[in-house]
Amino acid sequence: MKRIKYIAAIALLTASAGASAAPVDYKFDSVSRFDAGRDWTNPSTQAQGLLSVTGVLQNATTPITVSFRDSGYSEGSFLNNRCVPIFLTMMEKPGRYVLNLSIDSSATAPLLSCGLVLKS
Amino acid sequence: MRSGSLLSIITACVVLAGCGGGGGGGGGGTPTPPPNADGDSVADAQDCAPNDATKWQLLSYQSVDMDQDGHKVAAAAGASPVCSGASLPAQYSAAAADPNDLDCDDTSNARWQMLSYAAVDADGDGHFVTSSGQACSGAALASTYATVAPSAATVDCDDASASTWRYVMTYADTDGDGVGAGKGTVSCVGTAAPAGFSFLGYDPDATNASAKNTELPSWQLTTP
Repeated sequence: MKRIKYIAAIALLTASAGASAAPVDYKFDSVSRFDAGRDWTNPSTQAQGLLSVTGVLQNATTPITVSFRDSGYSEGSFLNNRCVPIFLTMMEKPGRYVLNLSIDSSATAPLLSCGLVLKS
Repeated sequence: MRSGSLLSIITACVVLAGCGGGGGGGGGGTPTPPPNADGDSVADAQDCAPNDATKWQLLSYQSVDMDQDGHKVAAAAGASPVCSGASLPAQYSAAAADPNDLDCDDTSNARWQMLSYAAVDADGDGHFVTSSGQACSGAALASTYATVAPSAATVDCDDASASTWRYVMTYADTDGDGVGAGKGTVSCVGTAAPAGFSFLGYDPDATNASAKNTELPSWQLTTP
């Protein structure tokens, strides 16, 4: 009986770990702000980094802010670090590129990809 | 004696019944047929089209198909019978229209059925706005309708103008060198920015047309 409970608990944990929301793709026409820091608003995650990009999506009229954590795991931090210059390039050359972001907010490393596409 | 002869002549005329017709009746005693201008065997007096040999009788109908597309509409209430030949003209039918196949536009054989749409492109620029309803159509919706609503990224920002369809950040180009500067303004545009604005916003000197920090054109920057 004890063994069955143990197996059930393992199965539940596995299912929880595997569950993640579908990634959301963003296409920014312009970026007006980029922030990086700690999430001081949440004691349980304040040790983690929090990055945010503010801008106007393609064919939108008002800016939005997209935030994602940097948990400190090497794989996530690696990508976040590589993406920062892309965010800055986007701000330095307004109108030159479209910024593509793919974010899975439920993942340990939420930022899945970033990239620039030259506007034609 | 003379009056007796006159009476005999009058009597003979009445018996022969041909005297009143003047000289046309001939003298053979054959009755004159009623006028029939189109020669269709129905006298003009009874012919609904005295000058058209293909029509001679009034026939009632319950439905019409004026555009001849095979889809009918019900006849108007109290509609007058139509002048016909042996049968109703092709546009008319004695049978009632099928309520499940009523022609939504009996003036055009290109449209006959109502189809649902979820997007409209009123200005015909290929960019749609979300709008649902039904449109009188042919086999398929017209190109200005679509069954799938556009995404937020593709919705037409001005469906009354074929030259504008997307929101883009534009930058004031005060020196007219093609590169703007400043915070930027979202504008509904097409292929070109509004006068006095640019899609590019990194002019290092917004008052000097010779300094514009223009990049190479995209075809030179793109790897084949």
